[in-house]
Amino acid sequence: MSMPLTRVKESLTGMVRTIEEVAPQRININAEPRDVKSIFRKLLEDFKNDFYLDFVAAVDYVEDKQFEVNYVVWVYSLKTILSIRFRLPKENPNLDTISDLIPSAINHEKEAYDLMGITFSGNSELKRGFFVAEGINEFPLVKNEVKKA
Amino acid sequence: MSGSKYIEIPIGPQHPALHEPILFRVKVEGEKIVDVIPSTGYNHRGIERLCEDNTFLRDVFLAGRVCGICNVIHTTCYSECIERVGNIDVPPRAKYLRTILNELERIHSHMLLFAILGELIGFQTLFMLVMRDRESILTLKELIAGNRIQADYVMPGGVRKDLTPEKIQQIKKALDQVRARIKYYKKVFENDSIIKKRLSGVGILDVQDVYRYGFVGPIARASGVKSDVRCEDYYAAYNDIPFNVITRNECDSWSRMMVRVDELFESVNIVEYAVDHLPEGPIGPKAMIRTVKAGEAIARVEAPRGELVYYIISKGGDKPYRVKIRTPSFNNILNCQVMFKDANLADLPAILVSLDPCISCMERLVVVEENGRAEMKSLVDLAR
Repeated sequence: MSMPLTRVKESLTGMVRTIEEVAPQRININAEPRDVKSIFRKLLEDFKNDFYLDFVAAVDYVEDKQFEVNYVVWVYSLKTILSIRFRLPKENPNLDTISDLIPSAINHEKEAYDLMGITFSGNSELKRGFFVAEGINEFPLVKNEVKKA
Repeated sequence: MSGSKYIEIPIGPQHPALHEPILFRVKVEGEKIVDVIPSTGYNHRGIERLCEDNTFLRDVFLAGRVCGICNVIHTTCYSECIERVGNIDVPPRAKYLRTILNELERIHSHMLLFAILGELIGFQTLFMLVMRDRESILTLKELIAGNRIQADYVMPGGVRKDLTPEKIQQIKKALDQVRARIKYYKKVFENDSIIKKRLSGVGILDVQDVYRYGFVGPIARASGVKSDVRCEDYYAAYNDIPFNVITRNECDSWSRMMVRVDELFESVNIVEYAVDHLPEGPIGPKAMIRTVKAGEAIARVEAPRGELVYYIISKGGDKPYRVKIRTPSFNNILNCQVMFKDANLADLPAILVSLDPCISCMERLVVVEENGRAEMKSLVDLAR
């Protein structure tokens, strides 16, 4: 087992469903949506000033009728990306915000809401028109909402 | 403004100090900035969605149009990501050629910023001189890729054009001249009293805020954070080429410009080393890579403005399922309010330019091809 994987397992075992090193410097983590805050709280405790939130990617898995929200974190000392994934139902997709723990999350959550319609409880700045032009009610990255060009 | 001691001044979305559309709602108390709220949504182009509807091969050219100034690094990141998904090997010579063009792009991008800085602080001569010297780098880019700006040079599996010994000699000769000019500009940045007064101690970014807000690139390095994707998450030929990661500890707008000045020397050295040690061999696959097996990958590269990331999911076939692009300006501009507190209103353009803002790539044209014909459509039409 590589050193980064050992460190991440020491930190997050018991809080997440799976931790897997899928490639050098790439660790994928699957977890339950209810645990999003506690996971990032633990990361802040164990890796304080040693990581930053790289981006948040939302993916529409049409066949599974689910959204996936993928928090991607870069850990400086491990030189490794942690890709922390949460699956949400397509009806009322919601996660707790982590912007109170990591301030930069606020804009990533705003983008995920504006483009994919995922809501983040506790983030009071979610709004349409963050990126997408005003007057559009659809969420452009939801696959069945926008006709193909 | 009645009932409040603050006045809110809108700067943008169209403003002489801004070269692209973004709105900064600036709250001031007298001349002092109390808060700055960046407001986006003037330039979103739907490129991520467009990538899903186009093929892996056509997306190379879309990626190159996310940002005009740093198009080579976008195609490099996109191609590196495809290569990670498909386990595609890149010939060593192609890796070196990617490195050469990416560093030339970094040089002309940083030089463009120095010119804009000169313009914004009323130093028009600096603008003219830097833009003149930048031309020699654009000429080198044309020599290698065939175009001054929009290179479309990097492809999944390699690059599109090779270098000849004659071209290598031209590159070395031009770099000697550029190095001498950078030395001159370094002296100007270090000694010119107007530049120092406009930039020193202005727009302070605390190292803790770098971690909290995820600042990347020269901005993070100017606050003492030694982070550079080129030596953290190897791509192209950076694991073969020696270079220094430039950091400073002043944490202000001046240090952000000085980090970039010193990075220019490193970039010139990297290009010289790469052309001197260019491996022999092919520069790409025998056939264009049109399909990619099922899988996903995250690729990171060091763009001129900092870390650029592509996240691509393939379900097999010739089209990606999802393409996520996170540009450095997303982190650097949307969180910039922490640098403006207690600054004077007149410092705003100088702080902003020290961030090297690139709004188009942050928001990412809606070009819809119908019946084989490309036309412009509004996002409202696209959504219907």
